[in-house]
Amino acid sequence: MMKRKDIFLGNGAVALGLVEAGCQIVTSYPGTPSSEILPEVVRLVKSEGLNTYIEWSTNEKVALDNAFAAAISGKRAACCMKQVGLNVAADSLMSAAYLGTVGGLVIVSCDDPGPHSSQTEQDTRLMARLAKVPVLDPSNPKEARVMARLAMELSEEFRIPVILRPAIRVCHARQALSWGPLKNNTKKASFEKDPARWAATPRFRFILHGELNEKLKKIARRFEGLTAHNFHDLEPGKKYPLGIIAGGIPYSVVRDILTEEDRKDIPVLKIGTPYPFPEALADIFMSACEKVLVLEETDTVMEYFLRDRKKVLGRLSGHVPSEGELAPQVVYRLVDKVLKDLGLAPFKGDRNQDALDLVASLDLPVRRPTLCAGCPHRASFFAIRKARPKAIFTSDIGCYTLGLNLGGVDTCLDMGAAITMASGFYHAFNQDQVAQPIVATIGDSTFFHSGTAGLLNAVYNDARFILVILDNEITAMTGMQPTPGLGIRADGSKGKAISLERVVAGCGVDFVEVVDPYEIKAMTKLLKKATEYVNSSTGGIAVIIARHPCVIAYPKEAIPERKSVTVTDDCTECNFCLERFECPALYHDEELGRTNINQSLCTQCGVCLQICPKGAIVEA
Amino acid sequence: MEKLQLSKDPYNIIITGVGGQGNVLGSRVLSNMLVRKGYYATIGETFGASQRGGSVMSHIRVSAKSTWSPQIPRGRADLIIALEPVEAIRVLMIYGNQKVMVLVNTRPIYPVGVIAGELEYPPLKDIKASVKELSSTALFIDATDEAIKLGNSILANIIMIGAATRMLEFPIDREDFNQVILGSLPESKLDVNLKAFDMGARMVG
Repeated sequence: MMKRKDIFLGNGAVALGLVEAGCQIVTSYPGTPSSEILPEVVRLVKSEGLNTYIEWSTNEKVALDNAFAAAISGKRAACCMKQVGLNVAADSLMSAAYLGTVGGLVIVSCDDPGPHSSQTEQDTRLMARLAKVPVLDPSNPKEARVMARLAMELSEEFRIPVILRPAIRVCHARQALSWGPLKNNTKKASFEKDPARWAATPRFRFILHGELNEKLKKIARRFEGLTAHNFHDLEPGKKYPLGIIAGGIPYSVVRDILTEEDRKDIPVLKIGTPYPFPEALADIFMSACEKVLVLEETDTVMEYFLRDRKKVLGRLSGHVPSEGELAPQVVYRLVDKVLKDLGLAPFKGDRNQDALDLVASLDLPVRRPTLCAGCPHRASFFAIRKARPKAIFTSDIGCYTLGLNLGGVDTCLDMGAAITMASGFYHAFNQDQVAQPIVATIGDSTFFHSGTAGLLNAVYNDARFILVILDNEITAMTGMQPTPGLGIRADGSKGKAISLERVVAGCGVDFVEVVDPYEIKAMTKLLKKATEYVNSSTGGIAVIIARHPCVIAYPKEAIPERKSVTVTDDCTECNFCLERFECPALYHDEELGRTNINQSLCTQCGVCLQICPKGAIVEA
Repeated sequence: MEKLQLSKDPYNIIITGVGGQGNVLGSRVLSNMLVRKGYYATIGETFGASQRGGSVMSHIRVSAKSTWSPQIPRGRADLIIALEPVEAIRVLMIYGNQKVMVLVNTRPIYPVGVIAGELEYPPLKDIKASVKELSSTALFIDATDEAIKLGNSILANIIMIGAATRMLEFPIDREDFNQVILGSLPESKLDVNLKAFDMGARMVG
């Protein structure tokens, strides 16, 4: 059969590697920069007619537990998430490392140095070290694909979960890859009962810990000779004043810089397996170099393992920044400085500074991201601020975090914290007999991910607040993945839809009402009714489900009746609409001396017809 | 196949614009055209939280010899395709140099800060003057206007790709574009996309 050549996204390359490795089960929860892996698996599985089981799980821990069970039935399984998702799955990961596997288990955890779209810059490699599982660190999409296969083989051979850690620049790079027909893995599930392992008590856990340590020693020896991913360009017998040890994207970046600067005098040791660390290989490199600069994202991992403070330059010595991405210009500057400090020839440099000074005089307006025109969340936040202006607004992770532009978001901690922080605030103020109003907002997908435990805790401990579940019937932020509420599964097939109302009621909430946030008056009225319930002695937590489809995912359903909107001369330029509603289609028109509508951006949702204090926004 | 060569290797292209303008699709189409001709291409993209109305950028690194890392270093762009005028300047400030060529769609998209009256959008003539000052070749076309005439403003990205092929030394043309979209777009969209591509190519003649 013919090989084809296609351009794959880095996440697609990971998906290809997993499917090529005969992965039979793939689970995931979406999160940038990992979100495209599962859809790419779906695409490959459909085009090749494979019988791979694929699911969007409700959260990362659920995804890992599911994949783990498949792996101890002898199958090959993978689960994919972003780096902070691995925090959610950490409980499962730590334990799974001790128990080991029968088949293969690959955990893909995508890091976000920068950070571009995450709450931290945490380094998955440290999580691998904490759990004592091997981690592979690809430097480009092509290597990510090969490493996905390698991770699966290592996992099965050594009976240990293996982590693949691509960083965002690998996930979101595209390269052409040749690939051929893919085959089903026909391995059947079989589970051999062994309670001393699969249900191990602490006494057996001690034994399993010893087993794990032995596995790691063997894997470290394997990594010493893994020349496809760990290699250097030392010339035999030669000594160097400076060498560089690098892995992941920083390796690709420094390799390119040295090529462009034509610097063959600086050898590079590339490490694709930061843990367990190939120490003997590093020793060979270290002994040929007087100083060694370590380039790795985002934390110090290899630098710790090198254990030579006098020789090693890196984050601990202050030569490499301890936060932010190692972007080409950062690497260029820091290597150049090290060269100068060591009395070596610096880089050539070719930047024209004058040109930069010229444009610096042009004050460019920043583009902060904003909720889309027609977004139902904008309507919800408008109503919430109108009804409860003095409340603390706890919120959560999703598109609706952008409600902070509208003054509707005061906190964002982690998945589910809108609810847990609302109860925390309540008890902190209530202790002082202060009746602090609190309105929490959480998206439907985030609620399914981490909402229920916090909600039933809040109910049980008699906290009082309003919870608004912003139900747009999709996981919008990460690229429109279906939610359990929708009842559509990862491959597009039908699943059982989960009713938010019933889940909320099941958590012990007695006030559950659904409203369409496009109806701002109705929602404001409902918020007032909810306030009375929260404040009454026989009341409790009030949950409002603000349900309206995402305007991007479902343009037709979201706006069934389009309303053409215009602004009259009654506009007094008070700018209330621009500040409090902040729709991208509304703008201040200098010439007309009033607010105006950008018709090419307007979705004709008609929500703004309800907001002008002077009634100047009307149907055309 | 004859041996490929580039006067500058790697050749660095940046496509920039605002989330929702079809930046990612543009970079994929252009790269696919180049890969068809046997070049190595690596694309680096920014997407995620920056999608909704934020500045977005795709880096394309083309080589006749090998694959390069996905990020273009500062000051090393060879061609900048800007789907929005202010984004042209933003990218030029970081990635520009005396030899860079720039193709700009002149239709502005105002940031929310400008809409709310907190920030000012620089006059188009100032933007044009700066782009000219900062580049060796600068071309300005109202791709959005032409796209609307074709029935959909989103086609501006394809018009820009059509125009860009006329500025590049690579042997890529309408037929490469046709082959690339044949495999990726629904049949009903092929004709209008070809029209957009041709329109762009004509606009820089």
